Amino acid sequence: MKKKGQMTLFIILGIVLIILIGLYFVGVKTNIIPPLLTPSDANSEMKEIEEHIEDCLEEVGMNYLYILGQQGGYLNPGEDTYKMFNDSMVSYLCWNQENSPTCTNRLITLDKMEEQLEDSIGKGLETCINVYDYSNDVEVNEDWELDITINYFNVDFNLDYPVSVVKGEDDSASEDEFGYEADVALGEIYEVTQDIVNQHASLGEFDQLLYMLSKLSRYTIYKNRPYPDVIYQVKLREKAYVFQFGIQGEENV
Amino acid sequence: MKSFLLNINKEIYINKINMKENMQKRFVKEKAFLMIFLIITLSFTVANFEEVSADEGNVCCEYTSSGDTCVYTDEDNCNGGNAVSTTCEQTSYCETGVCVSSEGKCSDGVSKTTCESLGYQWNEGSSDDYAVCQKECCVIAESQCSYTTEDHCSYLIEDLEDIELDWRDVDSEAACSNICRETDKGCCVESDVCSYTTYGLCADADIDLNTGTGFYEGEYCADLGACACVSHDTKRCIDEDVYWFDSCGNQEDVAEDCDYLSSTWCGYDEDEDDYVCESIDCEETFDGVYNIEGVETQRNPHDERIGGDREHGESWCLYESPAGGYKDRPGSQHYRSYCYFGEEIIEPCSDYREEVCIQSPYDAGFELDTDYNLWKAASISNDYDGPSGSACVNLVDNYLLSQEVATVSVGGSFWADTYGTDVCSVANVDCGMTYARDSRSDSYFQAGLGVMCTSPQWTKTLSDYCMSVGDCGVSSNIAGEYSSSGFYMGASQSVLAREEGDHSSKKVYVGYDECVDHFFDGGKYGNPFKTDENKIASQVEEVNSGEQEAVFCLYECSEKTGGSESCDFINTIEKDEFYDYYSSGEADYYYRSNALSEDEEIILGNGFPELTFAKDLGEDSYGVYGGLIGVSQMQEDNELGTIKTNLGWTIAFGTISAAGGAAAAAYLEVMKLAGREYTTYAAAQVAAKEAGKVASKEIIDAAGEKAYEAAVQAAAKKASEQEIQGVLSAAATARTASSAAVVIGGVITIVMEAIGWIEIYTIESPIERMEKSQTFAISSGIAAGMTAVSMYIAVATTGLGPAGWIVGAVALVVAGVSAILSSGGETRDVTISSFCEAWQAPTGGDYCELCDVSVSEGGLAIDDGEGNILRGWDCTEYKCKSLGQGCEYIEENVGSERAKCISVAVNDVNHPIIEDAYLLGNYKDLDVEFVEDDYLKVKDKVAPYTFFEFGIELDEVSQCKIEYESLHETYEEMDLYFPDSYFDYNHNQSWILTPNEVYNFYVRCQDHNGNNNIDAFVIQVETTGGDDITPPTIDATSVNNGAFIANGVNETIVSLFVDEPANCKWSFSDADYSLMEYYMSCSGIPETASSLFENECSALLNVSYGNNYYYFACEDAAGNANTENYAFTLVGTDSLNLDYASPNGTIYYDYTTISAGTSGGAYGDGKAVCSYGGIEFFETNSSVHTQNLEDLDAGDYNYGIVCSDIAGNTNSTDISFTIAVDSDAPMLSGLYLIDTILYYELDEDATCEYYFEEFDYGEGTSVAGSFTLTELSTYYLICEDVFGNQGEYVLNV
Repeated sequence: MKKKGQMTLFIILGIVLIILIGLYFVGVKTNIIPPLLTPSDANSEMKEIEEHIEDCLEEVGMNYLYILGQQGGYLNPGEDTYKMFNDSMVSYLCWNQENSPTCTNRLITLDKMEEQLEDSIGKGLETCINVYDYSNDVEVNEDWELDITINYFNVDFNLDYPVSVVKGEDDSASEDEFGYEADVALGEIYEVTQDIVNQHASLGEFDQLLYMLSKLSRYTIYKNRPYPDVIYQVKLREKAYVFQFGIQGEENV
Repeated sequence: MKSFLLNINKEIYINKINMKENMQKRFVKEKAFLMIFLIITLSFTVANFEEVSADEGNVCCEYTSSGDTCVYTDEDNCNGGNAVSTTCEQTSYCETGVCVSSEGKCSDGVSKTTCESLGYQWNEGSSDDYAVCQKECCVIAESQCSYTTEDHCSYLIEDLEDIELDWRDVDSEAACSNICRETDKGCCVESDVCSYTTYGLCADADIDLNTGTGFYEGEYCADLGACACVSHDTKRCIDEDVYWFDSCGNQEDVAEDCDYLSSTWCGYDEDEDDYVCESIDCEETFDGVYNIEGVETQRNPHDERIGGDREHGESWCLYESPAGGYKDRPGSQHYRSYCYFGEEIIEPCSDYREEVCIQSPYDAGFELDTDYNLWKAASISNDYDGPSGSACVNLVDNYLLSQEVATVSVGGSFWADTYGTDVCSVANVDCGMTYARDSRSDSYFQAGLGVMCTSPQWTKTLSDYCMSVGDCGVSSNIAGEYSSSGFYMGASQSVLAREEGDHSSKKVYVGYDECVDHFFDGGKYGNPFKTDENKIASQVEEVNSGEQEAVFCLYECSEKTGGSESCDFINTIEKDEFYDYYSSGEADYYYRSNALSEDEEIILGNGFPELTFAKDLGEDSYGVYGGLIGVSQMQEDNELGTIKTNLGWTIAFGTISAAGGAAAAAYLEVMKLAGREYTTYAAAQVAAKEAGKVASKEIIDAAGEKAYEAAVQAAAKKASEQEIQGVLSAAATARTASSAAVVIGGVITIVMEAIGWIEIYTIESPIERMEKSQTFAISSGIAAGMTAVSMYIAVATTGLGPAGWIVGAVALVVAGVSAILSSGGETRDVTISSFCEAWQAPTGGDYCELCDVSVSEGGLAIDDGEGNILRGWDCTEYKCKSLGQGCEYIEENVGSERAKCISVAVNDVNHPIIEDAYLLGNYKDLDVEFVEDDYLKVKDKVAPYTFFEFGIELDEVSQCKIEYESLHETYEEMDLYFPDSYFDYNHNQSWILTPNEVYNFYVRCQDHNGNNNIDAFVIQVETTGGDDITPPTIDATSVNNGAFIANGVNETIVSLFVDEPANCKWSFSDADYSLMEYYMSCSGIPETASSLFENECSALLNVSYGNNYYYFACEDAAGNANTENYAFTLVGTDSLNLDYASPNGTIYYDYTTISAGTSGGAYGDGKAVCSYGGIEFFETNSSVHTQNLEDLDAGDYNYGIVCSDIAGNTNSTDISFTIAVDSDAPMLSGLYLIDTILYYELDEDATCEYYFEEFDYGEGTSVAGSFTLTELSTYYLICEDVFGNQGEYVLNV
């Protein structure tokens, strides 16, 4: 009997314990009870800020990379320097030479493309990045610097942006650099573009099929002919990113 | 070409393999050589040390007899060189140092003689002392790494093509080796995961024997027990090949080795449901056809493989109409199609056929055949069925295949007003011909010269010629719609046979087009004929169905009466029958016809100058034919007809002369037969003189009146009876002779007249006949006159017998009538002209939309057979305009999938009809009620605060506008376009709806003709009340969060943009919405729910220096307020200081640098952007700003320097400076001598030269302030300042 009473007591205690534990989790879940173990606030907030900034780099950066590709390397093509094609301002990268099949090369440089991207993406980041959404204890050095490097196989976005979250003397986290690597072989595509433009500038024509075959079909080059110009669309065959540009032609009709 | 590629690729692979092998061999060789070298050298060195200590009597031998160097040995072993009794280290020739081999490797401790004997470079000290001996990592193709010198690295890659020097900075040989290890693949085992990756990407590569973690080079994870992955679980693609992957998703070995050169590549096979090596060839290609007169024709009749399979990389030509032979239709374009990775892609050749597509065997290449200026490649036979290659070749500026050679006419803007005049009119050709008639044998004019001008061949030729110069003349468009108004023939005057007189029943034919025209609409130029419409209709149908080649109509025209003609339709005839009629002359009168049927061959009949076609030189041309040559030559040949002109005259005149001469000769002969050589009159006088003596009544009767008088007179003179009898006898004889002469002459005249007529009848040429007739009229007149004279003389002298009277009278009548009948012929010159005008597109715009529709669906766009238009094809303005005069091209849609060619026919007065309206997104399945062009009603209520998406579809491309609630009266007054404001068939819209509202969206659309629906289409939807528990979202702010505010600005307006109607508040503290102090200015919650809410709320925020923190929150109509405030920061900034700006004052150079310095500002470090005179500094966006100016002209310069930072803090100042021009030469301001050095000083900066003699600047010795004297002499010094002023000085020392 005594044993039986003891068992009953333990059962009751067990049930109470389970109920208490359950209530605790419900309370934590509904923010009524603060969690006993909370992660480092500074680190978790810093982690969120890091993800946020990298998301911004990806979102804004890829957007401008896409526009750059659609517009032949120029984010803001000047008047009469482009052809409207499929709702895009496709820059001429080779000017027509009157009464001649050849043209005058005006291929933009990689440095210039990087400069444009840095300028535009920088402005885009100003509206995208908002670290204050993620922490009230954030300190930033607004003197940030964006560095974009167009590599052969990818494009690197490096943002030098010192951010620190200071919750207290023992709870702080900081990060100085944020980066995103775009899987866009812009440097390689640029090299193909150079080949095409150079051939047009020197010979007045370019056989994209022979070129693609000679490169073991690594690339796909579409040739469109909105009279009197030629619009090329260059991409790595198994990738989606397209770089398109125009060769200005001469109207004979 | 393919084999060529194969070779290339093989070479690439072989090169790669060779490269590796070469490098390995070279490493082995290098290493072996180094080892041997060191072993030998060091062993001797070590041996020497031992010798020194062991035997003091030996010497350091520079060269031994055994060929060694620097060996410490017995002197007898030495062989030349030095031999000194001391250690080698102490000799100059065997001193040790660093030896640099010719391959760039450095070895320390090598004796000088040993090094140099090998031809290497020896230096004192150790390799650490020399930069060329510094070792770094030589990386070759990321696969081989060698810790060596830069020169040696260069040596290693010397023979490796395409490999550039890659010499990386590393600290040690191990670090160098790790570089190449970075790319080594293997399994990276971590505590919880295994991954097949590279050494470089393995976070913890060191193998821990206790835990098993680390990088296992060359191992697959499934082979490692620690990973618990099952091998060969799935297949996937990595580049070209199919690879196995284990159950953990890690790459393993190759499952299938695909081969690009064999046209296989890794891909997913749906049948096998796995990745396999797939063919990258194209199984099917475009096989659409086009119509010629109802006959379906392949897009490339020269290539039997059209529509079949093609190899990867193969290309071929596609045409939209017959290509070459001037049969390319207006609007048509040449295309190059190619197979690339299993996809058929279209490459349009340049529009307006400025480029033509030519095709050849795949590996034939394209060469110019200089003999004919044709592409040699074009001469391949049609039997060839191997892979093909093709190219678009420019006709406009290509000197190889130009418009003069190809028979593809370059198109143009045929719809332009001036096109016909500018382009087509060059093909207008005049053809001269002469009609003739003579008054008796032919009462109507017949073509004499230049018959060719009215022949069908000539017309066809000129029609071709017209088409050859551009989009001119008669042709069908790419939709097969025929238009014939661009070419016609005309005569300078309407003289033809029907003009006057009787032409009895002449058969007349007209060509196919004319015949059809007459049948369909009575002919453009009126229909003078009666046609059997039913009969023609059936014939035309046969032609259109391809059962018959062409139709010609044959008419018989009756006598012209009262100025009009009457022609009756006889029958339709086919081409061959038509030529029979023509050649037989049965239907020798040709009525104006347009060009013959398009595919009609030119048949060159006798009498027509032959044309030379360049295509005859290359009949098997692929796609392009030879050119047309010699239209002008043809005209010259036609002129040759005039050579025959005068021949008839000559013959006729000779005939007449002969006849007259014969008659005269015959008469004189008769007179001789009479025995008198004098005239009949004189004889009569003599006879009368004698007869008058014994005149009797019989004599008097016999001699006639005159003879009687003479006889009376003679009788009075008492002539003797004998004499009278003699005279009378002679007179009788003379009368008989005269009658005979008249009879003979008359008979001859009659015969000759008959011959003349026969001759005239036998002459075919109307002109010759006319000329012969005219000559014959003259000769007949002469003959008649001569007959009359001879009869008169006979009667007057000897008298004329009955036979003479009869025959003479007949001859006189015959000759006279002939003269009258054969006179009066005439000729008339007529010019038959061809008129070549711009080709005219069919009227209307019924076919415009075909431009954007796939071939499979009855349109023109080349597709894959399932309606998917192939990449590269696009509707062009040229193509669009050819489809109809009512077609309009929408330039802004070029390159897009939207319709580009629409009908804007002037008779289109109908507004666009909304044929369909539909819901999209979450509501696409809702039940709706739709009435075309009227309304769309959503039967079910929809939830609020969601995007309500809908769209409309129209019967023609249009722009559409939409309005909510209120509706303006006209389309023009409506403001809001659909988001896609293009001309298109479909337009979509989305809208945020609020609760408990009935929405009416009003839509009007307008087509290209400006027609719009006056009664707006209505889309009605009702929303439910809905439980809105979602608080508003602040989407954005007008001022960036964390923005800098300019110094001195104490307050600024900030706006919030929220996603639904709401009220907003703000506070300096992170308080609950209800506790926030400040309200923002919002449009608030609309009284009637509307999606067109003003989503902007504004507030004036105070700003002070440093960080200013604000908190925003909003509450919607349902009382949902933000529980988490929107934290917002503005940063008050310091003022921007402009610390300095230069230059100022006078500058004696033509260059300077403008600079400015800033401090303070938004960032506190002076970072700002500065400009001078409105131009941004070259170096700026920091605290120091500089701009170099060069080649400045002399004068004053004033610039305003303005700097501003990101916060808008601005500061400015002015600088002014003068560029002074220095025209004075540098002057010596000091000259002195210290020892043998002569020093000079100048009054300005200059560069100087000196010499011992007079010289020109640039040829002397440059000096800078001083130079050393070598002797006492005269020195010449010339100094030049930056402005080019030169001062010359003579220094006597």
